[in-house]
Amino acid sequence: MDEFLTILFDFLPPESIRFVVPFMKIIILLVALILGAAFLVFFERKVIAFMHQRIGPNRVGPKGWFQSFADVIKLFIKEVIVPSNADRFLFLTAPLLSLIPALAAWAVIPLNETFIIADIDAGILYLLALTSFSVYGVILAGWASNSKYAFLGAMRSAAQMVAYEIAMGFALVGVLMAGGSLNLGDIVAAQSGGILHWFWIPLFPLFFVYFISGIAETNRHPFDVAEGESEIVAGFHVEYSGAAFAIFFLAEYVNMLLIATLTSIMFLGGWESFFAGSNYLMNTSLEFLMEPSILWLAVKVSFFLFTFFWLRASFPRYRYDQIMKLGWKVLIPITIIWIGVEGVMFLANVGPWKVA
Amino acid sequence: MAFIEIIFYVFSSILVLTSLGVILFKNPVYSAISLILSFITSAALWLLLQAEFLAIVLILVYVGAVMVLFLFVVMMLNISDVIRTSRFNKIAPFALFIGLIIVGELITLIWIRSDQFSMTSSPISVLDTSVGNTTLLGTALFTDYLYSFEIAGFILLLAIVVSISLTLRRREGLKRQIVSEQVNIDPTKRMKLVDLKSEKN
Amino acid sequence: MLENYLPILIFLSVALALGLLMLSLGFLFGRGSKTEAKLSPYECGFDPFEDARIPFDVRYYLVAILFIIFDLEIAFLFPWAVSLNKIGIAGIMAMGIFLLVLVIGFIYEWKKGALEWD
Repeated sequence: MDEFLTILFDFLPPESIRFVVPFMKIIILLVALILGAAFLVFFERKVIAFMHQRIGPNRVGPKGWFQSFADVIKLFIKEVIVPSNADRFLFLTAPLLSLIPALAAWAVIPLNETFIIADIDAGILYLLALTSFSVYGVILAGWASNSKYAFLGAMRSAAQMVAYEIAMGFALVGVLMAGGSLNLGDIVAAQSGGILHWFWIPLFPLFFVYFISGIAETNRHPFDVAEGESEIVAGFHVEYSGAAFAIFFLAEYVNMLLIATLTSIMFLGGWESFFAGSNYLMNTSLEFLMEPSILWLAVKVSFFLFTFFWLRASFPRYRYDQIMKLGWKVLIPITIIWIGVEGVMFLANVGPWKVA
Repeated sequence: MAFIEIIFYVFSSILVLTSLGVILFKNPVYSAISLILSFITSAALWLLLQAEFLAIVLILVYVGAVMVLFLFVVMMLNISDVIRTSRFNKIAPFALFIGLIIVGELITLIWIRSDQFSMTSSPISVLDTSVGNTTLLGTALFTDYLYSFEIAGFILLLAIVVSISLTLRRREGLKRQIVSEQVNIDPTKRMKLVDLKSEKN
Repeated sequence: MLENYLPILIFLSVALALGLLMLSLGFLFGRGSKTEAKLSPYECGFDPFEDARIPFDVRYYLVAILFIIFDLEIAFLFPWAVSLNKIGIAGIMAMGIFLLVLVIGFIYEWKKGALEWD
């Protein structure tokens, strides 16, 4: 990718290459993310429809495939209403504050061995910092709207995100202990060699905790008390319409993609093949299945995205005190205990841990 | 490297402006947001000094956690009342006094330090850049500074105890859900099967 | 090392530009009339009769404070987890003591009822 872009922009002065190449990679990634989010909405509606035994969207384009584009056009030609009592500047800044961290987190996510925008050492730390930043979009949206429902939604979601972020952080520490690096590429490299070498086996409780707190972090069902349309109408974005709402919507779906990708990378070996290192496929016509590829990552990510919708269709919304209880009294103790278990395993030289 | 200098001056100017914003905005929410922005720009400046781990932890802890608490407090104030009061109140002279002391201390510190170190030499060359910043810091923290690290643990414990004793108020007379009691209930005591005789005509 | 952060700076600028572009597109194409009822905050048909920014339960502050403490704990755990191979058994024991102290604090919170929402 890098070489190709460097050759492509060879005509530019050499100093500008280090700006142009990352810029083009960012544009490619952003286009992919936005298209991904658009089809994710369609995918969600189709999955839910399938679980409800309905047809789902089927009018725009063949079998409804262009539904999301119609929705986007509709959102953009709708009026952006700024309520009269609202703080105008913060009201319009809040959606940006939820979109920017959601997108910028992708800078450190590797999609295969070579495609990564910023290969920094402290990748996971950067991700955790950006995740903690995304709470501001919600808080400020709720405060700036000057509406009771928005304020309630913002407060609920702030306390909830804060509780699940701790569980998430502890789960990440467990992954770091196993991977030995903060760099996501190194973490995938530490999991090389087939489905039995991935971290989901030794870190199973953390895998579980991470995905659940990821759902809570993105304010998705069954933890969507920030929106809770049957209780507080639409929560923190009740006053938002048109393009401003579209930005919140995009941020939410990009965050879902992010959580699904991160779970695949950290616990399911990222772009590693399911069959890597298998003796049965060796020297047969199916040997290509053992190669690592971005397609494997796509399969894993799609599975987690499907799980997001599956949970949405299956579970009723948690009551607020139960959410806090699950976060503080179940997930955090599990992670702390498992970090202790990992420490003991490390001392005993079991599992993926090696004393150098 | 000229480009890094440009970045440095851009971030420094943003830092100065946002710090001024913290004390000059009338609306406390705007002040809090200026403070968040100044933390982010300081993190960028630390990054320019190669302090990768510290820069990101500054964002993680201060922006991600401390400022959430600040915003909670500030949002609860009655904004319209706060705005109506004048920009600088009676405490201002005292605050100015404290500020001057800090400035004096900083100048003295730089004065003393400048004899020992030349300010132009960069500390980067000392570090081994082949292993990550975080690993280096971890190795130092858990070997040479172990004692301070354990003290930090006890300070955090103290913080937990103090914050709970300061803020925890349990309301009386509420019905709480006790899951263990619900689960351990004996169904035979909850339900009584009664034979009702059918009415005779 | 700094070279690796340049793309992040570019990414942040591009993300900001994208957000601003979307907002301005919305203002450009979004047509509509502004009426008083439309511009007032949503409140189930009532006229809003007071400021929505009301004081709320002190419990939220407690959660935020506890969050800061645990976040600091995580900030200590990160460098520990990546330098496990270098600090050896002494390092693991040190973190064991540190975590034990904090688990005591956590049990204290739990028993005091600071984690209850009611």
